[in-house]
Amino acid sequence: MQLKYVTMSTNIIILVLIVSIIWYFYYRIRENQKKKELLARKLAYVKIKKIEIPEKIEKKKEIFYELNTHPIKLSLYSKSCFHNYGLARIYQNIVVKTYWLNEPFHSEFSKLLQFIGSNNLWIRDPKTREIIINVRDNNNKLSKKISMTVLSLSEVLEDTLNELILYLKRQNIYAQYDIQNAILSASIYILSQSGEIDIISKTLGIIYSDQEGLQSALIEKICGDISSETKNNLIYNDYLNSIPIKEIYNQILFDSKQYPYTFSVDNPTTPVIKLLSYLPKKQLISIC
Amino acid sequence: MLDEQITKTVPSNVDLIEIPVIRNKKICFIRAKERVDADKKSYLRSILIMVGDELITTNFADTVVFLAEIQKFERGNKQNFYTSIEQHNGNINLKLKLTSVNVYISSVEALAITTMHKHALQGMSLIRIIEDELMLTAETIALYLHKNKMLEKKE
Repeated sequence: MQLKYVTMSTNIIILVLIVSIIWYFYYRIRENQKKKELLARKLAYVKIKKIEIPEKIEKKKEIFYELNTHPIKLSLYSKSCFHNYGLARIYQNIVVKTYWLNEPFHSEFSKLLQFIGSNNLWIRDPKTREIIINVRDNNNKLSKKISMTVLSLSEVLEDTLNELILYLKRQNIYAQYDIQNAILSASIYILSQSGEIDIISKTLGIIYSDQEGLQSALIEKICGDISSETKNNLIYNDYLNSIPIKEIYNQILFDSKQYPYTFSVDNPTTPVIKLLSYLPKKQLISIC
Repeated sequence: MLDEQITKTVPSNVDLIEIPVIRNKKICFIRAKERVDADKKSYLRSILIMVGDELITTNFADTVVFLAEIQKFERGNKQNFYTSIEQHNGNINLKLKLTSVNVYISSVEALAITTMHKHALQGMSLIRIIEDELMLTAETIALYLHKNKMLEKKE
């Protein structure tokens, strides 16, 4: 009887164990299924979320439109052709700043400036006193020299042209042709007043009787490319004669700087006038 | 050595001063005076003679020769460099050898010039005039004349 009970109890225990094991496995499988479902749901949720979040908008690259700001280049004569700071300043103020690059004027005016710059020309000072100096050196050589004060022609030219342009503005004359002609005629007039005009006319082969003849010959020799109409306008035109070039010039003579100058009387070493046989070419030069 | 070099080149502290001697004939001395601020002294560097618009002498030795010719007056001879003796209506005069104008000097004026020269040397140190005289060329004279405003027209 007792044995029966023992077998019964062991059977029951085994059964319970088996049932518990089966239950345990079943439970595990169900949990796994639940986990899988949760994962699937989570994944689905994440996918939905991914769709909902708007993707980052790619910023458009800013396009820089480069403006055409590189320095403008013009075909000009370089500053070194004028041999003089004052003349280079005249060229800068009259030709470059105003863009007066129209052809007969530009090249002929700069040719005139180069002629003045290559020969250091001077004008006799109206206030000067000529003093003769007798110098006896150690070898008992007596030499006579005359000393006086002179004015630099390029300085006088710069001042008169500035004054002339101011005068034309005051008189409301703005026509390019008129101003250019006035500038040319004033500069030719000042060149004809130079102290070395005899040597200049000899080297250029000019024979003249009066002042106007000298000026017209100078224009033909130095600025040959100007048309004959403007050549006549420069000197003989009544309109241009109405501009008081001579008065402005005479005013400036009394204000400009004086320099001492000596030249020998007995054997004058005549200064050689350099003619413009070789003209420097124009170059592409940037302004500003 | 260095002192010699400095004194013989063109110094900037030299002034030319005009001393009128005979006004109606425009005869005057030109005194080159060097002012040294450190020593508080002024030295005489040269004396020149100007008649009208012409500088006759340009160094001190020539000036001395000119003054000697004037001092001797009629006792000079044909070797005179700057003057020639001329007789007019019984009066003996000295004619200056100039380029453009004729200037005659009487005996009284000659005396005046010599006495004025003595006065012109007074009160100045003569040390530098004999050994370290200014070596003036025409260009440097023109420069000094311009600096002292003597190249301007007188009215």
